[in-house]
Amino acid sequence: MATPTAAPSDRIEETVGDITYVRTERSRPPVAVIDRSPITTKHKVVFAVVAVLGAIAWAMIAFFRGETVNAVWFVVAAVCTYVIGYRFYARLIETKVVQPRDDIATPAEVFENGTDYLPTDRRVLYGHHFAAIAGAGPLVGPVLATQMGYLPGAIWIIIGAVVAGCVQDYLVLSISVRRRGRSLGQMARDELGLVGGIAAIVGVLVIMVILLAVLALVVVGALSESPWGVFSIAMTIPIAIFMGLYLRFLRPGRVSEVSAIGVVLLLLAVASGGWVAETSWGVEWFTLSKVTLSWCIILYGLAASVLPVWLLLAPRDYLSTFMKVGTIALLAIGILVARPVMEAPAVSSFAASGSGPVFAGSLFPFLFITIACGALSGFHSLISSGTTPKLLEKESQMRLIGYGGMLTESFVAIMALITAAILNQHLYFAMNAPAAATGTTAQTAADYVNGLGLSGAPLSGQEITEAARSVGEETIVSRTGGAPTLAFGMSEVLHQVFGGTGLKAFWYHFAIMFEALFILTTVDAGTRVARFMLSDGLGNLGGPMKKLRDPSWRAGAWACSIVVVAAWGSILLMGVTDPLGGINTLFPLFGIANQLLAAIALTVATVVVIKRGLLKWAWIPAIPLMWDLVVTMTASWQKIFSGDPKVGYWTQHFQYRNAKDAGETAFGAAKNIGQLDAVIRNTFIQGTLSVIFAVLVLIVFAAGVTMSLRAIRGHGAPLAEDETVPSRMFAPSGMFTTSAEKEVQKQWDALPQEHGGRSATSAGIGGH
Amino acid sequence: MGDNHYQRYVEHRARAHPGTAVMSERDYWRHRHAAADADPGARCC
Repeated sequence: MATPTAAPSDRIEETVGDITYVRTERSRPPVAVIDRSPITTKHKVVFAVVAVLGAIAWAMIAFFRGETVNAVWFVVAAVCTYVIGYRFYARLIETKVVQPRDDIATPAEVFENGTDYLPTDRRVLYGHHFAAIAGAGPLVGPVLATQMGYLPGAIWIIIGAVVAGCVQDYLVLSISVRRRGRSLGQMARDELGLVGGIAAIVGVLVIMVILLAVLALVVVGALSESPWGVFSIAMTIPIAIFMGLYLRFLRPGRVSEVSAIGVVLLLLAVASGGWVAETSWGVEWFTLSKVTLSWCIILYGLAASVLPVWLLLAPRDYLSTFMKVGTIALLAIGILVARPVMEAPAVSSFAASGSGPVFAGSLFPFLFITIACGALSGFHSLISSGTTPKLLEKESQMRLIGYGGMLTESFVAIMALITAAILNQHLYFAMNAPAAATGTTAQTAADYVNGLGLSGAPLSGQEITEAARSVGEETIVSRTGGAPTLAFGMSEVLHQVFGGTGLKAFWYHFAIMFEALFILTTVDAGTRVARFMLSDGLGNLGGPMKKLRDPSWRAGAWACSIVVVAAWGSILLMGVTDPLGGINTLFPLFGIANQLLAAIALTVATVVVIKRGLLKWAWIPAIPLMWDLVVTMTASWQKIFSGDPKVGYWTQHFQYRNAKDAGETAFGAAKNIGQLDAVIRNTFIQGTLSVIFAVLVLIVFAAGVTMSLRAIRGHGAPLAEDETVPSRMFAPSGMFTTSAEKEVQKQWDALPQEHGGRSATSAGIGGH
Repeated sequence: MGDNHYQRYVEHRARAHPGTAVMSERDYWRHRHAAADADPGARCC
């Protein structure tokens, strides 16, 4: 397909009252509607009411210290803040920084080929973008962060999204759209120069590896010693393969149909897991240790990354999208109907002391590291650049897709926070403290949590066992990683609304399956993406490596896949065998990695804003960038240099090494010489990774500062924006069509087809 | 969920390249999956 050349742009404007209609061809209807009408009195009243309601809800959450705080206040505070942020802050960013032009064609329109470049209805694309950015991250982080109470997490999730996360997603999307949908790595190279670009690409790859390892660790934590969970997750593989075969050979293109069949089969798998777990063979086959499960996931990741996508990856993606949207809607309904009350304190004693068992370190900076997705997530910049621009109809829709999509993810994170905070606090810590602390039996766990000085009545070992039985599990002690806690909270909420106590165990395993499903989707797709990044990166070195750039070279694909899987697999195995408890040592590293990726994305965004001569507005991306750098650099510093062995990897490393050198065979959490060696090795790897992450990001940031200073002095490199092509289509901007837009749409619909009138149908989601 | 992608593709071909051959629905999806094989979209955490 030929690349359209940039024709001289005919921009014909016609203004009626406050509304300007822009045409690119005299004979055709307008391609853009610019509405400059001032805010109406009615809207002023509506937004004033929303603001007041939001303020009341915030006051209830923050200052009300009565018996209980109802979860509904969190929903109200979040939604009102989002509405105000979207209407006013996102609008400010739009008019002052993004300056969308609907008379310019987007990459989707310019390169439309009916396959991967496909202008897609904005509402469908919104769903697609949301499904691509939201995975297990926004569910897991807030659960872990509940150890510090619900208030700090709630503030960071809601405010962080409005001023940081959404801004990053929106700006990266807008930058990529003007560059034919280039990826973040490529844009970093174009805008920051060679050194900054290479550091960004290496950073993305290393960060991807740690992300995959930690997500796999969460799945292992949720499935180990749980035959019910293992059975239902294992069943998703044959179900996905069946769907893949169905789509390829029986009924190609019937995506909704096969997904509906898949969801029914999935529910059957969850339900039948209950009786499989009661049979002796079921227990025997599906009770797997953490190490065995890790190997299963490693082999699965390797297989999924080299098998053709139609067989496993694409159908799994459809399934996971369906489940994601459905379950999150279900949970929202559940919370609003059941209206549970908070059991967690607003701010716990661990916030200041930094001695919490779930993750070490004080509120600043580690809360902002633990909750990454949901408030500010660097990984979104990989979706906002690359995938979404190829489907976007109009530049003015970017506010809805980029900013609005992230608001929805923030809402998911708030629901996860609620779900963890309504649990009995003793139970919460029994589930989330590492095995080294709880001692793995119900009685030792009860003794441990009763000694933590939590509010509320102490818990007996019997009660812990009963709680486990109520969700169809043998034990829930030290089920770290966040997923089991979330599943427990979800079953607590959902059984009150749907099905009663009889369905509690079903809902628990449904929630486990739903989390594991999209973590595994991320693991297989992520392994594949990392494999391509690696072969691309190595291929660019030239010489014999050049051959790697050919994606159809099977040996090369296998070799790169094995390298990637070995990288995350070894970190995963390190995590599951860590005597100190893998999640609490590795999760901070994952959070730091994700936030450092955000720093790279925000650096690119800030440089582009400055290069465009908008220095006055550079604070919009610069504020989240500075905050993010302060948080991540403080966290990295503490992880590298802190003298507290619970926080600093190296202090811990040398403590255990000295113990070994002194001839001791057990020290701290290490019960024998093997565990002693494990701690020494793990802390070395974790400490080294912390150093690598921090150095890479500082290089990128330094490159960004250099480029910005050059641009401010007026002799910087030019922007790498592409030449613009005039648009020849029309689409509304916001979620709802305005009356002026409806008028214009009618004119387009009236055009005969051969004159380029677009058909009324719009593309659905699932461009994989 | 992509149910109408093939229809969109046919319409696009008719509009942009009238008179040229169009892939069958089966081939269209094979082509889509082959493209995804060669260039996977990123997923998030």
